[in-house]
Amino acid sequence: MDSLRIEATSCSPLIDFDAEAGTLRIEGESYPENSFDFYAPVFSWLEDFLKEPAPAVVLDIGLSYLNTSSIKCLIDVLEMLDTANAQGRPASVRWHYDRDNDRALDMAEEFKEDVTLPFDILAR
Amino acid sequence: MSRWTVPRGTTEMSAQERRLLDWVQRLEETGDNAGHPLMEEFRTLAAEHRKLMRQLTKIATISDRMHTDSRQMAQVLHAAAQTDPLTQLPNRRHMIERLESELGRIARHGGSFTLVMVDIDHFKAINDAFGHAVGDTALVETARILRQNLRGHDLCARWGGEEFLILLTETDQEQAKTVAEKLRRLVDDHRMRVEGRDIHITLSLGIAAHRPDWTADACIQAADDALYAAKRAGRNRWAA
Repeated sequence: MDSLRIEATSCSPLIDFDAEAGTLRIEGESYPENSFDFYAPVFSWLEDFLKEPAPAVVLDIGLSYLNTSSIKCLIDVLEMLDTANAQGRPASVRWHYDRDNDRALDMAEEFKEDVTLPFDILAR
Repeated sequence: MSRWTVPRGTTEMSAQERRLLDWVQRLEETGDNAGHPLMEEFRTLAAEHRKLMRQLTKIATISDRMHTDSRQMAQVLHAAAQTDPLTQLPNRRHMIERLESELGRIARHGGSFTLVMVDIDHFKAINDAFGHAVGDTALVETARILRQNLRGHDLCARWGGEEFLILLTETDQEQAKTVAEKLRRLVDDHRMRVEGRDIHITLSLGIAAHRPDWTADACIQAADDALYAAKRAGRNRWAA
């Protein structure tokens, strides 16, 4: 399966999904004009990827700003992984936040709250 | 985990969620609904509905955090954009905004204000003789003296290189002369010890009371003209 890479812009994050290694990375700021359009290829890639038998999946997230529709998209991404994890496909999340920003930590906790897969919140 | 146990996390169950749960329970307890083949479908639908409710609350909570964060950052930036980094005095932009709002206030409610344009005498000579670091320290010290000897509702801004502009609210020309003389004397009497040297600086000040038909620019120009009159008259003095 092909990997997925979308370069970052000033208003959209880097998407770097390596199918072979099972490492997924979302990094930057997310307030594209149309979040649902932006994340559509992410969803379809993930859907295909999670269908195939493959090694454990690790999602690294480093997002410092998300608009409301991006929050919705990210919750959906987490839910896809959470479902896969519950069905026996090991998946985990590492959330990287800026240690100088207390609110960034609170926000990570909010994302973590409703999923059951391993979810590490790491200061950087 | 049964479908109806309270999900993990700190978010409390909303009244809306509670109503949904009660609804499902009521249906199950009515007649022989519990065994009806559609009951399972209904439970699944209700669970999906509840999941969406929770997700909506979650999205709103996270989004609120983002907004609070951005608002606070905007406030910090706004404050920084209005402050002179060297002296920590309000900057020119801040003074212009305040002057406009003061003019608006006077137009509506009457009253007056006076501007005092202040310039450090022979500042270039201090810079040339002792270097820019000493010049900067002299600016910071002067700014401190000016600010500490004005009332809380007056505004002292760094207007340009070695120029300060003071807005004295509810002050007429005669009162402003007293303030200008006080500031002139305080700086003249002060000895700044910078890097082992005694630096003596003096101020020239130009006073202009606002007149009813004046624009902000006209007030500033009048204070500037008075300042140059003080300079021409020999410096270390004020003119009105």
